[in-house]
Amino acid sequence: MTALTVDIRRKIYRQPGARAEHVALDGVAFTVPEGQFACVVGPSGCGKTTMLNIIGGLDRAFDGKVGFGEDGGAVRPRSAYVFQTPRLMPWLSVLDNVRLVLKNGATSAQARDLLVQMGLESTLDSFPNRLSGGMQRRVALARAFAIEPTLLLLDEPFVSLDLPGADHLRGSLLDLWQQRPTTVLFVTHDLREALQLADRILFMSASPGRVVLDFRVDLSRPRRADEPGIEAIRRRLLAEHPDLLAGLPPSTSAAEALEGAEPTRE
Amino acid sequence: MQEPPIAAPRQSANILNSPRARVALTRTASLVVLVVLWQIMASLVHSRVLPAPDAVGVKLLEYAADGSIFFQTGITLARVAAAFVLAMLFGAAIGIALARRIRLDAFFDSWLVIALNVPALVTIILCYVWFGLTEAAAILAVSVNKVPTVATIVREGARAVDRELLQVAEAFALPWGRAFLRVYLPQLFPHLMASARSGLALIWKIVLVVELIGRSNGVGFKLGIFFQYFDIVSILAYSIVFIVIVLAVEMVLLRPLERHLSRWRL
Repeated sequence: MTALTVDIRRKIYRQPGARAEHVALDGVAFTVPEGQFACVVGPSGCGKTTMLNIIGGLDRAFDGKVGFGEDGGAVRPRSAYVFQTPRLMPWLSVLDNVRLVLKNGATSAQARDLLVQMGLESTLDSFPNRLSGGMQRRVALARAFAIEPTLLLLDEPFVSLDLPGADHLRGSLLDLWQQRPTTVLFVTHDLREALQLADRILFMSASPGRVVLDFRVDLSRPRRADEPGIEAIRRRLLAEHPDLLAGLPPSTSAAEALEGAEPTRE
Repeated sequence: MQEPPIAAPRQSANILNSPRARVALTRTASLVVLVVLWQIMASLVHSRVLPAPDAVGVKLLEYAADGSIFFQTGITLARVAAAFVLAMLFGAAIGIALARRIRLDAFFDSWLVIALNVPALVTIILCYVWFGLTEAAAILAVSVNKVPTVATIVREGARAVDRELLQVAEAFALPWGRAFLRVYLPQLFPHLMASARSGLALIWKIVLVVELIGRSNGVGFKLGIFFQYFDIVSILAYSIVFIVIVLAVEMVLLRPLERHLSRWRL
């Protein structure tokens, strides 16, 4: 486990040819103590993925600093990333996809155990394109936990799944996180999902993204998706910060079904 | 799953009637027809310049018995292999480099177009003049003819590489070699295969010219000698062996390799 210190002063996209530059992030600063499950909630296009890519080391062209550990040093921890789409290598079997990311010398027995635990024992030698979308996401989750990350980044990993499928995977994620504690940063635009998962929620404004509210979730675990407590907090937040959360899609089942039909992308 | 009583006899008939068997039968028949046509033509023309297939067959057995045909084709094969490996390595490296660097591509693109259009004979003559009538010059001349084609085809593939999958390698901090071999290179595979196919076809032909002009052994050299003695029977005997080897390489090496590496697409 590792603590995370984020201080992104500015992230600008320059379009070639266009004179105007797009400010994607403008003053995103927060710290996540080690072992915490933090969710980042914000409207589509507010720069959530951009922020996650910066923290994950995929984007180094920004003004600011990302630090790790108690001293906030720049040495990257063992971090894993679950993307919005599964992003498995189609030419590698399920088992090889997980083995791909293991450290040299790590035994494939670990990868196998993890996949078996996720209910994928019958598909170890299958290629990803023969798996359902939900199973592919499960492999992506197993791949992330296989390296025993001290920092786990997730970018709307359950978007475009049907409701029961997404719910099942959220359960798997919490199980894995409780067995293999790690610091988690989970990006979503679904407030209900965040309330079900997180110790703490960071709300981001519409573009250019900034953290506008830092909210602690004091609900006991395990939580059910349809728990009255979650709904109550959601109502309260929406009532107290109507303008703040205006950009969020209404978390009704109709809207979720609609999102399920077409994968959303930032 | 009800088996009708007439299943057994019908099944044996099915093997002959299956589409694959019919295709194989047609292919064999077409080869037989070709040889028969050749025989008829030869007996009609009845000339030294068009020997009959049986005469060529006898000559072939003669060369096979004294081993000379195996020795000469062996030498030519070795040259083909060396030139092929060199051309693939350098061509692929250049193609990848050009796809990754826009400035590099802009600079070298016209060089590539020029190189693609230099006649093979010119490269061969220049290599022999500059580097002498040596083995190295011969192999270099053949590779140089092939490198631009490989580079062009691989560049197309490398331009279309999936950045999202490369991000996975980056996010999980894969060692450079593993990321290249298991994430990057498999995406180039269809293009590498296409350039290997066309490359082999080209290299076979150019090697013979190189041998004819500046080597004292190999199939090309022998064909030159036969030409001087007007020995058409021997020329055809060597051609047949050569064609058989080319087909064998395609069927025994390239096709199974392709099937193995693209089995995930099925």
